[in-house]
Amino acid sequence: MLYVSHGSGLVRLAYLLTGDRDAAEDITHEAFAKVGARLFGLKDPDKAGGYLYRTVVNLSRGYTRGISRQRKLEARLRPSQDLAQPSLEDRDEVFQILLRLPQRQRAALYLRHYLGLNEAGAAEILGISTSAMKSLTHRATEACRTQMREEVR
Amino acid sequence: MNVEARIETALRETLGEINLRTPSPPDVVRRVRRRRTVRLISAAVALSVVTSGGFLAVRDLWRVRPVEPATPGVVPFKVLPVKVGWRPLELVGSPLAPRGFPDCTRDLVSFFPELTDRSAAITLRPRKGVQCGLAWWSDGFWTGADGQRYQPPPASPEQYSPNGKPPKGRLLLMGTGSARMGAPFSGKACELQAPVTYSVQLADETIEVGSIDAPVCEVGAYPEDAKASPYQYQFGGLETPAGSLTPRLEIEERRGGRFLDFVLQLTNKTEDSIVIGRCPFYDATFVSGGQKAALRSYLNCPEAPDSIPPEEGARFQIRLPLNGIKGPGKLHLLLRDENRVMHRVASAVIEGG
Repeated sequence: MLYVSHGSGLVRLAYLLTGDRDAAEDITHEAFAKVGARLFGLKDPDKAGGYLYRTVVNLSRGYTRGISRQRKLEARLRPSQDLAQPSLEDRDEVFQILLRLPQRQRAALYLRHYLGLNEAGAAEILGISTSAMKSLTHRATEACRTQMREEVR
Repeated sequence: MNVEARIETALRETLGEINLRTPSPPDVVRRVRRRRTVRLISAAVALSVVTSGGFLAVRDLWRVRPVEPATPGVVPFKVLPVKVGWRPLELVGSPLAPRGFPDCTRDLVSFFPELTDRSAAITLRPRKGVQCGLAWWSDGFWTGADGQRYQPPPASPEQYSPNGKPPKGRLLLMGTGSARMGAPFSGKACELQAPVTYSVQLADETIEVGSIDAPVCEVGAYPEDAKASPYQYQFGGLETPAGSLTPRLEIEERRGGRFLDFVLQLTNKTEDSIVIGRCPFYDATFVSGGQKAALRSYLNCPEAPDSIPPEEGARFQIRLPLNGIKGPGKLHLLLRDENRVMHRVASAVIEGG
């Protein structure tokens, strides 16, 4: 049930953070293995989903930091090529802006806007306080807003 | 659309089709490649307990938006932008292909070559049910019997555009529309060894139009460098499936001030099958007091059925961002093509969220 409920959400987060489809798949599987192994020891098993997302965030950070693939991320993660999707004007522009954000800001926007978590839920996943989460989301949104304005000019 | 809504839309549209390739938990365990046998076994046991729905059944203590399963029989929602600054067909002369439509390739179009002893032309028609985008300019060229090649220079594009500006984007081919491109012979082409063959580029492929055994090459018959024209769109008349289909709105879900999900059902109440043909676009507007949220897009025709039999219909999922509007209001939808509004439908009042 965990796999069915969260599998797609996890791989999408990993893909947004790493830009690598195969790595996203492996990171997600690794997260399930890590959390699954600790499930008996969890104080609150109902929070397994949150642990999964946090694990994906941490594993993704290790992936990009360890191999310095940030530069490849923008080259790879172009929706019109990687996803064989139509490239849509506004979506391309905004998604490219998202890719230029630091990884934690991307994760914050994904948790808040894609998963629809409230600030407390998203903060728990990232392992930060609610006020820090609020600040992180605000900085990410403002960075996007500034870049959108610059591209309009 | 505010920044948050744009971010959400970009994430959903780009990431929405990413799913795990591996279908079931046991595969997950097998694919983890580490030499941690104990952890693998623990993971397998834990996952099997979870999936059996025992005391570890998952309850979402925090709000997580589940991935919406595709509703059977509904064409999924996609924004296929109508060109910004769109003007009616009679002004721009030719419709432009949205970005989501594929390039016209050999398998999508039919060819109708024309050859005289001093000119060549080719007409492309989309195959039945096809909607594709055609580059305005093709690298057409003449080839002599000895392999020498001559490519006529292109004419100034402004000459062929009703508004005097060079056409941008791709020409939309669908329905009974067609595109014709011609290449006259010229003084320089006469230097090629006969017979000469005319070829055009279509997407990534070179297509031979035909050969002229003995082109007329009298001195002074042509300008030295006759120019090649771009594709000229030939209007085949409107095919308006929405004109014959009966529309109906089905409101599905309102998520506060974020989105309004609804389905546009188009039903064939005639006695003949209707081919979708030219893809209509819509203007969807939610109005609440003095506030308004709007979306314009082509219907997701590429993923819709090619034709609709009598008494059947096609249902199109549409998601309208509400830009924070929370009060009750009404949804209005105009279904139209480039020239006219074909249908106007409105919902009953939708409660606030």
